[in-house]
Amino acid sequence: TRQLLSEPERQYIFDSVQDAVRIDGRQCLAYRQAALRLDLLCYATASAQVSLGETDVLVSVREEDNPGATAQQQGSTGSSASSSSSGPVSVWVDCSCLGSGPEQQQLADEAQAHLSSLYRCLRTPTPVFVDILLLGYDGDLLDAASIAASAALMRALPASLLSAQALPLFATVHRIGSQQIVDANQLEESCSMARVTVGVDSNGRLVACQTCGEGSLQFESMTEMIETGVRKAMMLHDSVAKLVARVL
Amino acid sequence: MPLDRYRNTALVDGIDVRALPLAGDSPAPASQGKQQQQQQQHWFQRRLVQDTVGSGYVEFGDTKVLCSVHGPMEPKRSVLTDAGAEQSRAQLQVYYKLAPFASHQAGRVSYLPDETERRAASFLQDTLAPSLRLDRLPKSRIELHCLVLEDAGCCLATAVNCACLALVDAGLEMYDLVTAATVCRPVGATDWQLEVGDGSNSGGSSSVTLAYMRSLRQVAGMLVEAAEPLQPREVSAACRICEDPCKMTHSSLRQFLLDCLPADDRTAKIA
Repeated sequence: TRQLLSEPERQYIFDSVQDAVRIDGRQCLAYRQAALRLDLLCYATASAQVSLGETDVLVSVREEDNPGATAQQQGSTGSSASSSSSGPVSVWVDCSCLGSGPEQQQLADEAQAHLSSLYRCLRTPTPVFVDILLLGYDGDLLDAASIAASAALMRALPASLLSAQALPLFATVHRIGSQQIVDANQLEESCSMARVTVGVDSNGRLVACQTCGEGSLQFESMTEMIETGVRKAMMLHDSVAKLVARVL
Repeated sequence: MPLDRYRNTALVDGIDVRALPLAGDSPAPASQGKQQQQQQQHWFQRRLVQDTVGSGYVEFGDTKVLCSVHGPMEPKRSVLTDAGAEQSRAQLQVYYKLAPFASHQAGRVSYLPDETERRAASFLQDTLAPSLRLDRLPKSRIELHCLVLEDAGCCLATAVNCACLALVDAGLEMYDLVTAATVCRPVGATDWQLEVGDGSNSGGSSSVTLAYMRSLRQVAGMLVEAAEPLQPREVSAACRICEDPCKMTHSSLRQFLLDCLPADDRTAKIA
């Protein structure tokens, strides 16, 4: 889903970001107010809802004890759950709430590809299904979805596993002119020149990293953006861990 | 027609010339060291598919990729992109497909695009778009079809190189040539190795693919596929390692295109 913007509006957003002012008054490297709610669904092993501005994501995590049945079930939907190379965590993204057009489909496909790559290093004893339902979209879907998925996984997975393997989170850094911004909303996303998405585990190591969007970058700015992403993701890790601990 | 020394044109019961030490530009055996790997070269051909506006074919080691460009054609109607800035530039649509017989290890590849193929298509789209002057073709759509005939590793980078060749062959205006290279590292190892399409990387290793525009000195795309958590500086180091092979591929692709220019030689080869 791409926001329609006229050229003067685009210029306005661009210029204000150059002066380190964003349209909603945030700092360049500040996130919007986020709300996290846990255990909303009673049939899921764990669930979480994250709203980051207008972006609203509901995640259900379900552990399957009977892998044979689920492989069959998933095989019919074309998910990569049955292939051993993708690891036992399979991700499914659905944004049918937003509409059924090709743009929504593309958004869901891209998010699914990114989030599957995020959990590729994670090994669990039983297959785990992470179903992500997008209820509202205003930019920065990957960060919101990974926060929700991470919070739900923290509740669902046994403590021994979580202490051995660190859960990863996404941080997306956009470049607008000479400024870097995080947590871009839909308007800012459509002005973004290039973006780098980093998946960082809680030890500060990268598990996924990709440039996306139709823009190119200098080597130095790419490295800078990766560093910013790692820094912001570590900050997110702290906040999520604190919030989940408070509920427990 | 120029003599094609690169490929084995022997009869079925002939001797495999690639086994002979004389064949200098034959693919290096998997066990050989780094020196052999750096000699690995791309083999380019264009205009392989006649019914398209442009097409390219690239062999890199045993990896073979064929790309064709269709268009400009009518853009897909979309409610949101019907008006405004979206109409002022062309839409680039990339399709990426592994042939059913492409993979040696994984068996037959399904006809339905799986997640890796969709991901590769979106990577190609994001990588090639910065190099194209899409604003020169308003209200139109360009389709790029990328078919991996044989996958012996490094097929995403080879696909980028091949797609770039096809786009140039189609006569689309570009800012720069995009070339790509992949380095990989098995789990537990410390050194990145350049992937050369010899089938040595049988999955389970981390890889970094970098697409680079040499003249602009800009990164068009970067993709990390981690099999284990990596330090950020290791990823930066891997990107730096990719830079040189990207530059070399840029030179050879450029030379190939220059050689094609005067005589429209369809089977020219870069030495």
